[in-house]
Amino acid sequence: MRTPEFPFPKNFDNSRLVKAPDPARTRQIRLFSAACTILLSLSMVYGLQHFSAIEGGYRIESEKQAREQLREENRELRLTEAQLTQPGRIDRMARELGLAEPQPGQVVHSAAAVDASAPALAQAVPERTATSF
Amino acid sequence: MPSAVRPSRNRNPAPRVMPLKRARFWLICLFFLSWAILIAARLFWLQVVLHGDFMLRARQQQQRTFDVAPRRGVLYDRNLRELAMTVQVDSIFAVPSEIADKQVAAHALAAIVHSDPYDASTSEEQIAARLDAARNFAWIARRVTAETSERVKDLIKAQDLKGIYFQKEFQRFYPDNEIAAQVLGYVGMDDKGLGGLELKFEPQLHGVSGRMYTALDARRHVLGSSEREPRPGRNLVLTIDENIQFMAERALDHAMERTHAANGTVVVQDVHTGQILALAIRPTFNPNLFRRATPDLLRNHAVSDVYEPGSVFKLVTYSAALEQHAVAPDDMIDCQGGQITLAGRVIHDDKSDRGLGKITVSDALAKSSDVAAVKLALKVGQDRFYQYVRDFGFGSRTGAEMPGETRGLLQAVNKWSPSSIGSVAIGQEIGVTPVQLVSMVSTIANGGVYLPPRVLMLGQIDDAANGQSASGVNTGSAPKAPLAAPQVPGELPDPLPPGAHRVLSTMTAAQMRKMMEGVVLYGTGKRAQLNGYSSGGKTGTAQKIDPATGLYSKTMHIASFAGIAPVNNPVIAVAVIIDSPQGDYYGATVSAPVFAEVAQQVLEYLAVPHDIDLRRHRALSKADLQVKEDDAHAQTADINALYAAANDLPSDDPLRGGGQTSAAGPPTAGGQTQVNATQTAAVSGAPVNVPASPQPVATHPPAESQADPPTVIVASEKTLRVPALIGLPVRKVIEQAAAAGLEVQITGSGTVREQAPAPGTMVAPGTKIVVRCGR
Repeated sequence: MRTPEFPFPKNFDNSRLVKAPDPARTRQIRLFSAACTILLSLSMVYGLQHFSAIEGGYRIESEKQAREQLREENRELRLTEAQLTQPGRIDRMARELGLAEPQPGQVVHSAAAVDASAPALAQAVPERTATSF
Repeated sequence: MPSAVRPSRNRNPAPRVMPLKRARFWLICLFFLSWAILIAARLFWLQVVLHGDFMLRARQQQQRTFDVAPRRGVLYDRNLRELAMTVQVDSIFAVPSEIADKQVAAHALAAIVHSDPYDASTSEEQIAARLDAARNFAWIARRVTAETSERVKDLIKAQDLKGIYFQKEFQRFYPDNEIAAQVLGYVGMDDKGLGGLELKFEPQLHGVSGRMYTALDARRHVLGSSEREPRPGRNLVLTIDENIQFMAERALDHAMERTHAANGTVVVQDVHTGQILALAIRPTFNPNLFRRATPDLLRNHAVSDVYEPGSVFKLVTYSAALEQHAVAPDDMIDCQGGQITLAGRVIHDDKSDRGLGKITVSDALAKSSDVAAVKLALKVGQDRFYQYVRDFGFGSRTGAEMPGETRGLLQAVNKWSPSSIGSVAIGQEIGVTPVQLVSMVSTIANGGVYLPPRVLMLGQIDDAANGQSASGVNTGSAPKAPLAAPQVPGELPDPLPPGAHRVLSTMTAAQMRKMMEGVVLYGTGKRAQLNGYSSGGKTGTAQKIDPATGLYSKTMHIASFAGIAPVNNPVIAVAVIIDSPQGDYYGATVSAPVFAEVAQQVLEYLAVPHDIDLRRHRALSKADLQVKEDDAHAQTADINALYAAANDLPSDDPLRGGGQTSAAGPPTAGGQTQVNATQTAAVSGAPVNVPASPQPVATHPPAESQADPPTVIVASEKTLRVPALIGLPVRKVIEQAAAAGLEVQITGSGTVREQAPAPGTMVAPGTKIVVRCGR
């Protein structure tokens, strides 16, 4: 027959027990923690750079496309300008507005020196003139 | 009470067993160690052993290679206005495997994209056939307008159409529609030049394709890309002036409406540089709608067609005689009553000139006496006369940068018959192109130096031996300036361009100009008189060869006029050739007025000072309008000589029907020795009506009222373009304004928010630009 067992709490006072200081171990732990921190930081930096580079790639591509888009818009606008300023269109619109061709001598060019006997080169006058074609 | 341990009396205790706790510890350690080893081994396997495989798979998945089409170069006029340029437009394609009902889709799409009846590829049947034929890719329509693209997008949204996508492609645009169409040419669907300068300079204009290497993520976004940049085509600056071209074409339109001619050509040239300022041809076509053009419309009559110049060629004869000092302008010459016999052949003057006796050489030219011309040629001598003809550029290609140029028809002197000298002297037995003719007149105008005609500004395209020059690369912005060498106004270029040579002395040229003025003032060229400017020239009326009979036709003529203006200091030379005018067919009445209209407008446009007094507009009197027939009498020249000259042409000459032609149409039949103007006799003389480009209103200048019209004063000194300053800091603004030669007034601080005048405005030097800055 077994001895009956009766559980009862027994209070232990271990407050006199203290962990013996172990400087060597403490230093090891600190070194290890520092190394882990550095390693983790480097890993984080690497990761940050890696994903930043990927994000940067996306952004660069986006900017490239935007730049090309703007360049293309610029070309389209230049084409539109050329179409709108074609001489036939200007001429037609001028006539619809009641303008007429200038008569010979009606347009006076206020050049500094006008010498009828001087030789002339077939070069265009400035773009904006008051004539209609 | 804790159980006690019974003391053991055994002196040899059993071996100690590892406590269960320590064993369990090492077991767990072993487990984790194994796990770590497995992970490390797997990593090693994946990242080292299979490294190559995974890199390859990643490359295949992520990397895409695209061919990047090069952008075609821009064609500018001499003032850097775009005549032909390329922009991106939408092209529509389908993935047929994604389309539920192909027939319905084809029907719906064709209703939108099939707007041009000449474009069979966008018809419903064609679209449906392409959708049935392919599984992964089928074009719906290429290079559609923005409006069509939007409508298709709306259709896709409305009907939830699947499998329809858009792609950007380059499209060539000619903003001026029909202006200089034959000169510019056009490009086909594959962006290759098929006529004109587009064809001639296809390698330079096309550019070099590039390659783009991209990395795509799982969502097909581009991670990064690297590209071998496509090399865009070179921009080319032409000598053509858009406005002068318009004036020439409008004047030609007026003439075509009046005369219902088969075709017409007007060439305007700068006499001091040889640059072609305008080259107008009717009928014409719209390069934007090249599908509607027929091969005959694509032909550049100015360089590919020849005609017998008739009396206009007397300028060469008289020039040679004066240069050889065989005669002087005031010498008397016996016109023998208007008839001369040469090697058994009788050459008559025109009926109105018969009875002419002794007149001055100047008068003989003014009255266009054939007898006088023959006599002068005989005085010069056959060999020397032939040399003058060659020196003026006839009988050889001018080298103008247009495809399909013929050298013309001129028999070698050793093959001339005894009467050939007489025929050639009066412009028969010789075939010339309009460009050759205007170059001849320019030679007289500029003091006697033959300058090869050019359509391209110098210095852009080196010859094949030197390779391409580095200028004019298409960076998306206009070139800074035409590349011609700086030149003193009114003087010949120094050094002379290649191919230039002196033909006449300056004295002879001056004498010829005076005589040409006499033609306009007193002779057959009265309709070529200008208002405020002196002019000179020569009329010509030549019979064409009837292809049916092989003889000179009495009903088909070519009316021509070649002239210069002003006379004392010429600026331009103009040649007008009207083929087969109906009704009145004389050069004096058909072509001379065209010269007057073109020259008057061009000189005013170029701000050339008037050299004679302006006069009120008055209708020319009947006496003035009375036209003496030039040389429209029966031509008795030896046609066989012309045929023989044609058979002497090189194989690549367009008149032989071989080699390079000016259009991608069917080649002309071989052995066509008569002047090609006859081919065009069958072509309607009416201009092509294209709805996209309404014809200018064909009106003539209104009758001048009695009161003087108001004067418009235009500043013609050098103007400067206002630069774009918005967004720039103050320092940059000051630098740019100073560089542009303008003053600037700054209000506020920071970067520029507004400016006046607007960028691009042309202002006088020293104008003050006002900018408002802000932060």
